[in-house]
Amino acid sequence: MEDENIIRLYWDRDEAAIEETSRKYGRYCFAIANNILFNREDSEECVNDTYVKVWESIPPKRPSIFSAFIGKITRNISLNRYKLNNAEKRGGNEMTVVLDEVREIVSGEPDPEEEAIRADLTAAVNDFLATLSVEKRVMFVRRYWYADDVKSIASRMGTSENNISVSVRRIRNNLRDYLIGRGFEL
Amino acid sequence: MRQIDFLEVLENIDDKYIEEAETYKKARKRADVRILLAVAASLLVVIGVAANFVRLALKKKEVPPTTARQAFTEAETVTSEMPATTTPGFTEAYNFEPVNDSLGTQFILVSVRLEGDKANVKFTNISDEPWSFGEYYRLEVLIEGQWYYVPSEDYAVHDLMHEIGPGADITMTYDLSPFGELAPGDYRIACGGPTFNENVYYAYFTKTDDGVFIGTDPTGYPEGYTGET
Repeated sequence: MEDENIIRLYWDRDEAAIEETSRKYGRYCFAIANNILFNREDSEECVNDTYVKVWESIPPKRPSIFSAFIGKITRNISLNRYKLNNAEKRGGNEMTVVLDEVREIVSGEPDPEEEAIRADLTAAVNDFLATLSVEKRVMFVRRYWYADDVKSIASRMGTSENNISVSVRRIRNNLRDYLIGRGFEL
Repeated sequence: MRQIDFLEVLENIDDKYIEEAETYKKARKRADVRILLAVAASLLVVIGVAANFVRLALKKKEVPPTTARQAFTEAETVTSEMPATTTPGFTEAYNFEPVNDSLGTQFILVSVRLEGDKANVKFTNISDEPWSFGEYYRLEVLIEGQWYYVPSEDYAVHDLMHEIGPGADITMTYDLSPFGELAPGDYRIACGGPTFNENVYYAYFTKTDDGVFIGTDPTGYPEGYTGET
């Protein structure tokens, strides 16, 4: 079913919307959640929570890109679950590796004014992403938005794992320089 | 800022980038080629030959050139991306970007020493990740600012990939005898890639008018270079 029709079901408060969403985006959402949580049960719960959240959000929202909309919700729920699960311990999953890599961009120190600058940071990251080639941008987003492992990205991109590792490292460094250049204290 | 908070910043990147990353399809199906290469390599190992003969050009010149410039006076320039290997003489070398999107020259240092017709190329992996490389190589010569393939007899390479860990180095010995007697000039060995055309690293050396080979250290400077001019 086309996304537009699925969204219409939500607006009509037709519960078939969830069924159609699950059919079309269930695996997609599970992959996002499982990349972060590396736990089937937790991931399935996050996907189910996603459906509830989407149901609560539409209406009034009418997302223009439904896959990104639902993916963001899954990612948000999964990150929160990850924080809950890992409040006192470090996990051994891909998310741990991703977080270690992100340390090269940010200092790791909490920032009391974080909330205030978060929107500006997102805008700056979007500006930075716009400067990248499509390939580099896909690598970055797959790694740090979808939390894909390097092997999966290499397979998707049809290139070597070395290539992916080095490319995302360079992008990280460039992003850090870019943000510092824009006046952010990381 | 904490790492996980930064990931939350990323959460709100533009929807179009999220969609783009999900729907991205690489135009060239290199993955399929890689699978074929892997299968081919496995077959070669099984039969114990593991050799892949490639003709870069027709037979070498019967009379060795006296100088590189003389040798390449009649060089044919090919403007297409890949060389026309069936043309006798010399074809313009495709100037690959340094190490196409692989670890990059800043992470893989290349040096070369010549011993007779053997070139010992040392690769040093200064990255913090394993580096994979292949045995393919060819020889190129610099004439008036343009690199040309040096014609050769048939020669064989193992169609295999190797890997060295972070901080490790390995020395590969390349046989230059298929290229015949080299005239004085500047040369480079294109090597290290999984095929002739991918992730090529260059090992530079010079043959002087006195017939002495001068290799390069890992920084690309001639052997013995001290920084003094």
